Amino acid sequence: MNDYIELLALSYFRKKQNNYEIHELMQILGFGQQQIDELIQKLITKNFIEYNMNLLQVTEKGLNYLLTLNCNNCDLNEDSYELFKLDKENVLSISNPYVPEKFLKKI
Amino acid sequence: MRWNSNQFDNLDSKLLKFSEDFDIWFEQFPKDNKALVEILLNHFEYYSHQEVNKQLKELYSQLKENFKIEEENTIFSFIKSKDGISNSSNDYWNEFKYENNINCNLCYENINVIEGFQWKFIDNIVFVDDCIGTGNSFISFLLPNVLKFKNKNLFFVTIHAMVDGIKEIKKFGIDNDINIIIIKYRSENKAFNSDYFSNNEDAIDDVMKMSLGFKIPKNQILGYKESQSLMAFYNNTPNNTLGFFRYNTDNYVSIFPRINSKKPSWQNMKKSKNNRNNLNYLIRRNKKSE
Repeated sequence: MNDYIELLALSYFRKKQNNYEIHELMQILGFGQQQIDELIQKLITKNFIEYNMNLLQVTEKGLNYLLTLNCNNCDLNEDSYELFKLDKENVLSISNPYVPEKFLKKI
Repeated sequence: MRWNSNQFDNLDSKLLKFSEDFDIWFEQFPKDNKALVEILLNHFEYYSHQEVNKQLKELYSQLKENFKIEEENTIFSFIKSKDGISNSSNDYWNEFKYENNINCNLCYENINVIEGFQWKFIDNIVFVDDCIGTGNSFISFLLPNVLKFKNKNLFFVTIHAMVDGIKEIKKFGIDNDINIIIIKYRSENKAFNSDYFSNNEDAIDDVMKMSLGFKIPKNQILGYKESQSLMAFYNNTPNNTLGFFRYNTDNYVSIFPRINSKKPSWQNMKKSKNNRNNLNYLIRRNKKSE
């Protein structure tokens, strides 16, 4: 699990490059302050990320790690997970109960 | 616009948007106001993420060299928002810690967890934040803990500080026996308290008229409590900045819009109740006077 979270964070830094925000990463991962501190510290200690020109950037070692796990093109942007087959205009409101087809016949 | 360092060589997303939208934004101003906007823009400070981090590193060096702070008697913290909800301002504190490799045992998200007997070992408390506007946020933050800070050194590390805000904080420190030292990258006077215009009163009138024309609320035009600042950061624009740089309306789009996340209704209940009470009071008073 921890490796997976490290992978997500690393993908985030690779994708966002100079436009990363720690706060945004915290929100994506649902992390609190202490958790994010530990995660960043771990990534720095493992030499996956480092400060380069005053910004946190993925190191060559970090990029290789992403490559070996075939995650070099992972995108944390939620749009990429959008369900394109979902007909947004006809979705039920959350307050409406879903009644399966021919439900009454089955009672 | 005063572009810090070599920002044009490496545009961040906000500057890229600025360069793309500039012409459309500038077109919105009446012909007579364009010169005024240009002057204000010339003195505007934009701080990219890279510039912020560079200065946070530099300011930490200054802190270590000039004040000889040691791990044994120093803690680091940040100014929490009034509602206690973490926001993008926390990133200044985060980057300050990571970039300067500060011992995590010295960093406190909440200084209230420090027990009473531990305070006598702490001489220096370092706070990190993006800017000082009126100084109100820092003073409101210190007020409940004023006894804990008595006779201690409080260092406020910040990127951009308004001169009036610094004065307020210093005065608060003197009144409460707290030695407050501001470690800043840049300090500025109010926009219309500087020498940018030959007649500041006329310039204020012009900005007021122009902004009201854009339907910017009156209390937003000169910034929070009229702090008249000219600054924006990579992650947000402080409410101290002149309204027309950051406030969007139905008929005006600003160039550095402030990010205001929508709050759930229950967080505004107290405010709504106060507003209702005030309104009822005014109605009753008006009826009596009739």
